[in-house]
Amino acid sequence: MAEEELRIGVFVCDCGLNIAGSVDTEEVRLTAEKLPDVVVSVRNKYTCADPGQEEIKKHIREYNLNRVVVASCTPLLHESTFRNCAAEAGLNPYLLEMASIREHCSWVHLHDREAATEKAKDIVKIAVARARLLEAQKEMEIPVTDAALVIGGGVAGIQAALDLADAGHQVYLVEKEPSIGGIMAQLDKTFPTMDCSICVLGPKMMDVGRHPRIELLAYSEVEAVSGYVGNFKVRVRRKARYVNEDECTVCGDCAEVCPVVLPDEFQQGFSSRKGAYIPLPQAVPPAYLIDMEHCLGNNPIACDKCLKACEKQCIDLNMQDQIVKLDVGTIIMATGMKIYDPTPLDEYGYTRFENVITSIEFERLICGGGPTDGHLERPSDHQTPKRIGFIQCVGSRTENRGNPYCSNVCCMNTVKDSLLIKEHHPDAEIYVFYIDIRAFGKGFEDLFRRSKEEGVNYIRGLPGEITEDPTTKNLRIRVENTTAARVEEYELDMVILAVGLEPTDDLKQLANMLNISQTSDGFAMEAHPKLRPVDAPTPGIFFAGSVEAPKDVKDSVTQAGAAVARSSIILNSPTLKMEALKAVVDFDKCTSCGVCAKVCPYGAIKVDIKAKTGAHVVAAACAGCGTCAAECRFDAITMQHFSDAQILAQIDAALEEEPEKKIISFLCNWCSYAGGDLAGVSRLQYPPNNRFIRTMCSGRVDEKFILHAFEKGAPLILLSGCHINDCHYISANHWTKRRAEKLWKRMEKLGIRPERLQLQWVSAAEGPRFAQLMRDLEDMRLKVTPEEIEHTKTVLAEHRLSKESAEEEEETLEPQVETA
Amino acid sequence: MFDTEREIIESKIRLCLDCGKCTVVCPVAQYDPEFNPRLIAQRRLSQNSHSPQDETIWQCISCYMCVERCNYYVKFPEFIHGLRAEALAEGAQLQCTHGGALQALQHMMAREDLLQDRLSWLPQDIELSEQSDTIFFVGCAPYFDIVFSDLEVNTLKGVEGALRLLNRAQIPFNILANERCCGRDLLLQGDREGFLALAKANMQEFARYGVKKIITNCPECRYTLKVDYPNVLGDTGIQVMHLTEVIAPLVQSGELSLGELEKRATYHDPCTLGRCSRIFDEPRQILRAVTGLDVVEMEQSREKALCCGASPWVYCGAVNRQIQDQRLTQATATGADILVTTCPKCQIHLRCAQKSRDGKIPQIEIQDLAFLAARSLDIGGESVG
Repeated sequence: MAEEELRIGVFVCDCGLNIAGSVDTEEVRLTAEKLPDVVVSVRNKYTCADPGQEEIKKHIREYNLNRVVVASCTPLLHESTFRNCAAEAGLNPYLLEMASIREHCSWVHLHDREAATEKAKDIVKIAVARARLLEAQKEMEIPVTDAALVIGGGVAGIQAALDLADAGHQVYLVEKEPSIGGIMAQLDKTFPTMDCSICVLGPKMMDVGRHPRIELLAYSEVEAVSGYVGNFKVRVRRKARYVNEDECTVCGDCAEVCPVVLPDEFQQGFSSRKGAYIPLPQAVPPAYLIDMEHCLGNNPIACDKCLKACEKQCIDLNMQDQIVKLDVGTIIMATGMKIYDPTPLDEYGYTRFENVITSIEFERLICGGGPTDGHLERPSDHQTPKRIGFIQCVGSRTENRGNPYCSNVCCMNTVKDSLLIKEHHPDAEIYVFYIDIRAFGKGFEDLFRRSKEEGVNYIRGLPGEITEDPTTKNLRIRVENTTAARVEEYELDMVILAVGLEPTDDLKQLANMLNISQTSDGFAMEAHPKLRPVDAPTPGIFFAGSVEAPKDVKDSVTQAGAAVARSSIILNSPTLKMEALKAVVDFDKCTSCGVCAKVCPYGAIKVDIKAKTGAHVVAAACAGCGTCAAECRFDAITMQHFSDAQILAQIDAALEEEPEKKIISFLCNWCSYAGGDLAGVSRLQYPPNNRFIRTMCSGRVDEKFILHAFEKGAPLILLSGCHINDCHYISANHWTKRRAEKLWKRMEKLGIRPERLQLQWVSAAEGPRFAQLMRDLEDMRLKVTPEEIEHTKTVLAEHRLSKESAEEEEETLEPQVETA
Repeated sequence: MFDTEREIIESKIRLCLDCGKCTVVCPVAQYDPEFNPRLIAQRRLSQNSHSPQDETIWQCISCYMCVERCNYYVKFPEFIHGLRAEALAEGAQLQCTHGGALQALQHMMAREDLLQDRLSWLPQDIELSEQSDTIFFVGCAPYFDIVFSDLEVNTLKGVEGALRLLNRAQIPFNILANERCCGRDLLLQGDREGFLALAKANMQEFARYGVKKIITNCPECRYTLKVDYPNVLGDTGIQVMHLTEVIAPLVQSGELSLGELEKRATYHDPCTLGRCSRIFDEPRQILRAVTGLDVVEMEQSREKALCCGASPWVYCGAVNRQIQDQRLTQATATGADILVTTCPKCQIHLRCAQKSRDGKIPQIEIQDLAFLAARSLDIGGESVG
């Protein structure tokens, strides 16, 4: 690194009275001016406003500044503002450092001007120390493949594919079933409009089949995904249909002659299909397929009836699976959901009592394209049921067999179903047994009202048991009508269980492939539930539809549009700029031990432990958490913009004067630092003895930072980050925790009280908790004696010196290889 | 030690969805429309100074059927026990059954300076290992036989059977001469002081003899010693097992063989052993090991087993009778000769029902499982039936 003369400019902001009201900003400015390498120190009333920014640019040019420190508000608010400002003046934006003397100083020490001013001076000193070591960074620009992969061909996937294609992007739509359509294709009508489901979906399916920019890979599965945003490489297996998709005319001759009869999955097992079949008449792609698992086979020749019947000769029983390799820039996951199987709830008798069915089975029975041509018949005797009951929340809102969450759509689905029955049979007696009716969306309450007006009975209470009359196969329900506070019995001809919805069985596998996490419900986890609801934490991957949580058609379509919009931001540009916060490996020091690869939450590091070719960081996939740098025992990894040297310099600056009065807190950018900001915004007061050091993730905090701080005389250290399952970098804080545990053991052995290293998780929403934590820390600090601090300094100095000499010896030995 | 507000939170009653499944499956509610577990919770949770005392809290028989079906496994029986304690603290009077004899006995047993003569029934040929840190906890069986002598409950016969099985299996154990009632009945009634006194007295005895493991024939004692004692007094460090938990593995592995009995039997799961402690298989494994014994299931068995209509010696009435009638009818419907159970309370309550209503309640023979198993080896002493 060529060392030009450092010329640092410090800009102290009054922020009106927000800072100047409790901090003597002129004193801060004066003190900053005297710091080594600072050539100019300026005070401004509103630095972020136009005049303030112009002044910064003017000073950069006039004073030839090569580092800028803005002492004002939190970087989480204005770092990008001032970075742009610096860039406009010709200075690399990564040479800017912010010193937060507002949220973390003036606002939280309103009543102690002297102490607040001293602290502000320290904060500036720490910032200047870091600024000295900042390096110009070039933001990586990666090329973007203008193509997208949509996994899943239900309504969400279909909509996403159409929108992306219409927006001009190449789309690959992969669907594991032989036809697209998903659950929506199986529904009779949709709420609240009572549209015929397949009638509105069918045209969209056909559009997908026809669209010049959509390549439809049906009856296919994603097997492997590698790469990173803008450059994903996907391996897809196209399963053999044994029928030439492009030649098939859907004549149906093969099915007519096929001797194999099987339950029809599309019709929920109520009718049958052949071994040669088409899943539904409106299938896209419009082609038959052979169920090879049950086919009688042609080798040795057992049956070749379909071959003989097909005039177009498009059946090939020797077809093989095909592997297709795709290059895409973004991936949209639209793999949908699974319907809960209520068999474990034996008190409801599903599978034991013929006339107890699920809501999806009901859809097929009432649907014109269903096994009974839309005549509502009950399974046991095909008679029209006159008395029908719906039981809500089956498998939902429970810890007792099922899932604890609410499945979102079952209330409205039942309301809709009740109206469908009334349409066909106005005299039907319908009972809905419920705990709550959730009619929250547009038009939902209207539909619910219509249902009541039509005479559907809503009984508040869930049946405790169903029994069956062995002769009539009628069902007897015992339920407490909680509103009437009495137990009631109903004899019904048919019972429909409004079953809940679950994540699909293969979501875990897909999640592993794409490096995304699942929430405790098992559905896919979004980057932020409010502000980034369709983004996966992994860049370049988006969600549409029920893969993220159960939802209805409208929300699925809406989300598909959102996912497409997010996707387009990446695809619309030939290149993608990534923030320069990447891990860089020094191959001279790297021993290929593989630890960094193991700890990386994004799988962004590749290490061949055997070949010892060094750790290779896939920069585009690196999110910049810094865990690898902290875990690397050979100091072979540097974090851009958050280097060891910078952080150590911050620690030194903080503890240069009166270290015994300073608590060093390592805060993570996304949670604990933001929590501190919230405490400031809320004007919660706490003692001024804390000095914060920000890293992107608590995983960045190397144990050597902590030991160094103790050796410099810090009485107490706080290590803080996101709550354990909420880490912004997926799982990095687990390593933080483990590191702290190891450090505690080491401290104990060295005779340092482990409580002097505090590990506390604080979220961005926990302002009061942060403030209380600061108060608690000050109480703890007061109990640390000067003798303890001196003892610690001595012990750690010895420990460090002995380790250094041992390392010199060890250099000649083969480094230990850690097994994964 | 007891904190009603905290208990209410811990019972999770606030999670109640008000779905009413508990009311449907509750055997008491089935016969008494005034008893509604869901409403008891509602009344208590919305209680203010104008709310009258809820009289129905005394009728719950703690059978745990509500817990079995509840979406959140709300601990309704524990909630009820807390309400009873509250009521007693506010001056409610207990309606004790059998003239309060059992309560009197239990309170007497709590005295520290108590010396009981409670081992005279012990047959001479039962081997005790006085050095062993395992004890067999007899519980109230000796007193039951006296108080309920007209019912011929013979709970001691069950105990004897258990002891003979343990001897035959060569499992060493001691029996303490100064055991107290485990206290479960008082706990269920809301008499926490009484329970604590018994618990402390028992723990003192256990400590004096260095007890590390307890085997008992009574599921209520097992649950109380295993769960309630540590809950209230802290970790006891004592392992507690029901007899069937000890014998079943030996029978399955072939280490212990049972004899022969050519009869048809049906097994009644005691609520505290079954739903409460999830022990369903072990008693059945033992019965199936008796050659020639045809073991059949009642329509409501295992997790769905119907309670014997037990009460902790308070507020027993017509509803309990009806439940007992239903259970005995279910047993008879299986065609079984013997109704087998492994709980002395179930024995007492079902026999009591049989002796009432001029014998109109099904008179199927009731036997303790340990007694039956031991008798099959002809080591059960006097044979009955």
